[in-house]
Amino acid sequence: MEKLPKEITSSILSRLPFKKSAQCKCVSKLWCTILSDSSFPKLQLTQHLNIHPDILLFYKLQNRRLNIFYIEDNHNEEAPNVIKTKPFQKTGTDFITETFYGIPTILGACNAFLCISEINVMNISFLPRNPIYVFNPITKETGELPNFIVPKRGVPDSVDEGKKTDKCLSGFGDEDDSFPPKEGGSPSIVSLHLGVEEFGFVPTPESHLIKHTYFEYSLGVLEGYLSFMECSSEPYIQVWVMKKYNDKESWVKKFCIEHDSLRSPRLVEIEGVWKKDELYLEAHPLVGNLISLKSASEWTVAPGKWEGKRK
Amino acid sequence: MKDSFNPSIEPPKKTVTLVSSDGYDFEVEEEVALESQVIKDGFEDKAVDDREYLLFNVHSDTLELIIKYCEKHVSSRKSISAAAASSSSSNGEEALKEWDEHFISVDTNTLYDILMAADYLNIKSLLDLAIQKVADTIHGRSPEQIRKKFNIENDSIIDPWASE
Repeated sequence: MEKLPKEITSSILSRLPFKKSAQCKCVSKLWCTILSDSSFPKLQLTQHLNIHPDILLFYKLQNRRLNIFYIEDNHNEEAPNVIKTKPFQKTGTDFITETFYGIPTILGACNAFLCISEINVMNISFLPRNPIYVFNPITKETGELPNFIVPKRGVPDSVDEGKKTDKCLSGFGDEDDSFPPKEGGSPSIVSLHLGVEEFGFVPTPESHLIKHTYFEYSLGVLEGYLSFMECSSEPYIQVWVMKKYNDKESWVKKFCIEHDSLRSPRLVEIEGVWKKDELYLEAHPLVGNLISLKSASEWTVAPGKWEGKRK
Repeated sequence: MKDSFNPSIEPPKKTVTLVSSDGYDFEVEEEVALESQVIKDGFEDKAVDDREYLLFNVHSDTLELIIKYCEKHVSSRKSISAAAASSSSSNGEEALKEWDEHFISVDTNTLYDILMAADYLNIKSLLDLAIQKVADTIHGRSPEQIRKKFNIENDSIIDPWASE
């Protein structure tokens, strides 16, 4: 088996569960090289999404500390809507206690990496503070991003557009010009091209709500498309997807969800796509409700929600 | 290499000859050989009376298995699509999966040979099957057991307990 071509070995290893592949680093130097390669996590994730389309990652705040949990290989044949509590794994405790003194928060996640920073509690809009860290919750590896100017208002959100190298940050800027691009006070989606480190705009959907600058927007990736959620004072949440990246005409309203049972959430985020067409949405991070959307009209709170939920 | 073309006993179907690394000839039906992307790619350019492939990297023992796999998959595909055409219910895919499972349950050395041959001949479904089998084998084993099972030399500099 030692003489196998490297591509085959890496294909074999990419099919292992995350934790097992991390453990396999100590088998041999070659395996360690393959598993530590920067392209490996992407390969592994692609492989896993083909086999198990339902890997979720979530986090909760407990006693002002950030706890990261993940679920892997969550098969529950009898009741597919119920998350089993058993496979929840706690991760990253050491990294978090050693790195942060204040309240750390997850800014976003893509390709199984998390973007974490401390939030500035002096600022009402809970803006992140430099430095921002990239954290792999499975292998517990971390990296620090170069410092950049954080907008004074709005909730930056990082999202990988998927096939592109662009990273989208939703900056809901106002008159302030500290965030590189600005667009007359209305919410805008800002992209950061990682290759050339250039900021740009991604057009927003045509919506009458979009004129208001509140914290009621979030970005996500849904079925591989950039998605945009509007959560306003109106009794419904709108979920848009951009069928063709960077094409304003291609925004399509995917869902419209009544949210009276949610008691007017300030912010709802897409946590992941569950099975075929169910969504996982998360109410405001400080509340920490994991909500499964069974159909466009029905909200259910997953029974297997995390323990120790904050009120 | 001997000439496999003999007009007196010409088979009804078009065939090609695969020659293993140890010099054995295997005459197989054209569509069975075309399961290999490598053979398929250069197939049209080759003259009809010269459809002989020298597979320097595949031993006859392995080639026999590979042919068995391809024949099974070609015939199953036919019966599955025939069943679909007549809209009769068929558990052909299930049965094929079971057959695959049984086929790939071999010892480590054979599995290695199949992997190498499937890679060399570029038979994607077989390569997939073999890769998954190795991954499943690794899954339930400790690093030490993995080394032993796959005969990997321990040159690691990582402390095995570090990840615990």
